[in-house]
Amino acid sequence: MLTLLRTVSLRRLREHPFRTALTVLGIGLGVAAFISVQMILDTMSDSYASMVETVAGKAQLQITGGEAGVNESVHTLLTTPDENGRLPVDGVKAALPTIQVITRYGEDNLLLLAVDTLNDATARDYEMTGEDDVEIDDPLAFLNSQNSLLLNREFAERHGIAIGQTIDLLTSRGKKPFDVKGLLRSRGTADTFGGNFALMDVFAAQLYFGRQGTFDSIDIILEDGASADAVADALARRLGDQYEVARPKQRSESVETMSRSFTLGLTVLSLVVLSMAGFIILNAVTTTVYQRIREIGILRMVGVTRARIWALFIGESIVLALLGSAIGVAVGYAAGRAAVLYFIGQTSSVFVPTSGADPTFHSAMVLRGTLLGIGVSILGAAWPSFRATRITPLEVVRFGPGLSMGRGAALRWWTGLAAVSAAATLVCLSYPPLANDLNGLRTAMLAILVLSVAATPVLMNIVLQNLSKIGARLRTPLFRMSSENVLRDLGRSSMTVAAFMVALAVMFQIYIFMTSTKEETKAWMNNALRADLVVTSSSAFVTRTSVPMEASLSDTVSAIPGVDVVRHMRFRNVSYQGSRISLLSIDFEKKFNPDRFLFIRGDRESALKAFLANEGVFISQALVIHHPNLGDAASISLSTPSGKHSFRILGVVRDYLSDEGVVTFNRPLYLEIYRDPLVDSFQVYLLPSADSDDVRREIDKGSATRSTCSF
Amino acid sequence: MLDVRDLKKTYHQGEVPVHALRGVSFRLEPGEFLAVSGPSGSGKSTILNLIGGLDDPTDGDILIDGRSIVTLDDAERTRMRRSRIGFIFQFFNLLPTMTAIENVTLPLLLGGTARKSADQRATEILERVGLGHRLHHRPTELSGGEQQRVAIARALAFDPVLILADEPTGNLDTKSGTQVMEMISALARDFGKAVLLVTHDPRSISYAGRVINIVDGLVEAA
Repeated sequence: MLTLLRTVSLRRLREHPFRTALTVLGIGLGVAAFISVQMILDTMSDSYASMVETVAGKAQLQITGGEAGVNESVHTLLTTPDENGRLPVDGVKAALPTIQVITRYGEDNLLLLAVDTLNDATARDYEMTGEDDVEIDDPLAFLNSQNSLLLNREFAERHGIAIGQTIDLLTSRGKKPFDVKGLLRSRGTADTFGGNFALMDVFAAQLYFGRQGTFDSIDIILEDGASADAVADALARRLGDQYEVARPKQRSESVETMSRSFTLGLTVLSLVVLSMAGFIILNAVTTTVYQRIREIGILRMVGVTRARIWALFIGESIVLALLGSAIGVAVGYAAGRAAVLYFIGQTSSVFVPTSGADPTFHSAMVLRGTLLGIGVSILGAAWPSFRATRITPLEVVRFGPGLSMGRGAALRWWTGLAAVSAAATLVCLSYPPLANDLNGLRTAMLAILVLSVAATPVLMNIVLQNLSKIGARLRTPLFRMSSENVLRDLGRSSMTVAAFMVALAVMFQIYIFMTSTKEETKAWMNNALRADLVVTSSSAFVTRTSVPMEASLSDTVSAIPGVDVVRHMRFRNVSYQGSRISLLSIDFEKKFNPDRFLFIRGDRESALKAFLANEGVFISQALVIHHPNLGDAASISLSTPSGKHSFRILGVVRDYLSDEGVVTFNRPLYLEIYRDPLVDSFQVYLLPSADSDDVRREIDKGSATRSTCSF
Repeated sequence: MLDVRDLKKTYHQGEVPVHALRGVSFRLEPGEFLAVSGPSGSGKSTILNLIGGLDDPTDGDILIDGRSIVTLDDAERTRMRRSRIGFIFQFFNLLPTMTAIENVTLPLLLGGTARKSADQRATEILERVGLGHRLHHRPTELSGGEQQRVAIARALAFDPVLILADEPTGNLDTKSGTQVMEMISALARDFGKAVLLVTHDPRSISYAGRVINIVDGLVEAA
């Protein structure tokens, strides 16, 4: 077999460098797309996991309370010893509160970890050097005032920050000065987030970052010999279902479910590119088979079996796949690296907080990419290779090309494949467990792709046969001849058509999706964003780890001449049944606009009345799509700082703020249940006489810490 | 050695049946050189294709060394073709990507011969047909006569019992044609091969020990 591959196939490939290069590049492109998409997704996941685990240090367990955080009372409960000096939960040696905030410094994101300076050395190691580069034994002692900071040394050097210098950081109260008390070596915890790391006191962070009365997590250090599972169970029993007790690694795993749409979008993209590569291979191998009919016949004549002929062409496609994969891996790595730096910057605040450092690239990725390249290549080559085995030596040797397979048989195959794919598509899209699962959607995409390819020859056969008849009736022999020529090798013609069709379908799909939702989105935007100005913190996106503002800042804005009304908007992400949905709260009663809510379910009049009376919430259509059980549900149960709370669903509305779903609150109800006074943006309505530019200048003058957008 | 019994072959041109062979029978013994002649379309090439297992008869049987090739499946027939039959065609049918020696070693390697032995055997045969100095040339670098000699060497690689030659001089000049025919007749005379030559060239026919004439799919009575 290797002899044939070496003496026949490889030499043939060398004789047709352009076609070989095109095929190799096709596979390379597909593999490169796959590798770079994998790099983006894995880097996001790994970076987050690494951050969670590194920040956790020696903590074996972490208590978290979703986006609402963990109440201070939990810390008090766990750290108040009984009369014998023992902590209340057996096996717990220390309970250490932390707050994590991603803020901005210059053009960089900076992870601010706030810890209990008295006890945190139990969990994490820090190495600090002072002004004269002398090692400091107890770095945390330097965080002795509310505005003290320790900075990663490399970060400080990159920004020209020296010990003793004061730097301004964005807080919930606007930009505030912080004193850099020391520099941390870029090791362990201090190396988290690509080294964009600062350390401060947790109680100071509560004040600066709007976490009054709460922490983001409480890290648990176990006593020697204590079982993590047993302690986790004991803590869970003690704290109730309002809090989650998990190992740091488990926390990072749950993040994968949080960016479903993003993952699906990228996966579909790489799938389409790979399919295109499959078509290129199919076409290339088909052309090769046609050009080598005589050669195949000779091989058959001298004693090469059909199985060997098939293996020869498959072997050739594997060689091409290996070459293409090698190029694809190299290009994919380079593209992935560049994309990671871009995407992570764009997505870190939307999905998971990660740093752009060290894109994930490992051998398993190379193996998967290569196997995929080989798989697509074999798939593309399988049919023409099979046809090659049907070549009879006689036809070739004596009479020249005679490659044919009964069209009827081929059509039956294609029709069967189309029917199976159609069935698979229907099952994937209509069976709820699959329709709501990422793998189900991926399978559906693949099935649709196969369906469109398999249906092509069937449809082409019907159309061309009719065209041929029309040509005969119209007495246009050339027209008839063209139709019959295409029909003569329907498979090959169909593949070319299918390749174009899939490419066009993807483009049309995007276009139709964009245009069909454009008008609807525009109408929604016009109603949803009626404010003349919007004031946000300069953090581009909104998560718990970003920097929301204190509500009291609205007083300053309200006092500016020309301002009529200031509404408070809070938009935060929470976990709901494994997905990351959004909570939106606005004081809707101010400048109430009933048209803002585009109802899909619910009685409009009574629902709006009940909503303004804080009797329930609206849920978005996207939320119902992802959680069909909510379609007819009367209420939705959400985690709140006071435990699970059931909210009456007043209606299902269109809302494009999040594709995972939005629960909309009137602000008084939100404040009452969530006790979260922070604000992500202020919506400013002006008096008719006011000049928006003047007001905007006034707002900016009053606070350089925020950005203002006018509409 | 070769026993052709009442061989029939019918093709279909659209709905119309064309009877290429209507019951041909003959025998061929080792060392015998038989020429099959006849006008174009008489069915002589059909006989050769059926004997070579390149096509299926409509009826009748073909026995090589007492074994029917008609009843063999495709893989078994392929193996028989490789080990028992050597082909020589008008258009040489060499693999263009392979050198002379590689074309000859290919059937040997496919049959499981070790590379070293295959190379030795191929070199020996190519030297015997006078191409010892052209071992590593590709077909495009050889003349027509040389290409046909490579084809003869390939046909002999597996030391087959039966040589099937289809118009072997049809694409050669007179001098090369003579050389090739002398080599083919020597295969029967000196090496005991059964040689079946299909041709309508009187000069080629003159090398054969026996001639049968096919007319309208039947052996014409002598």
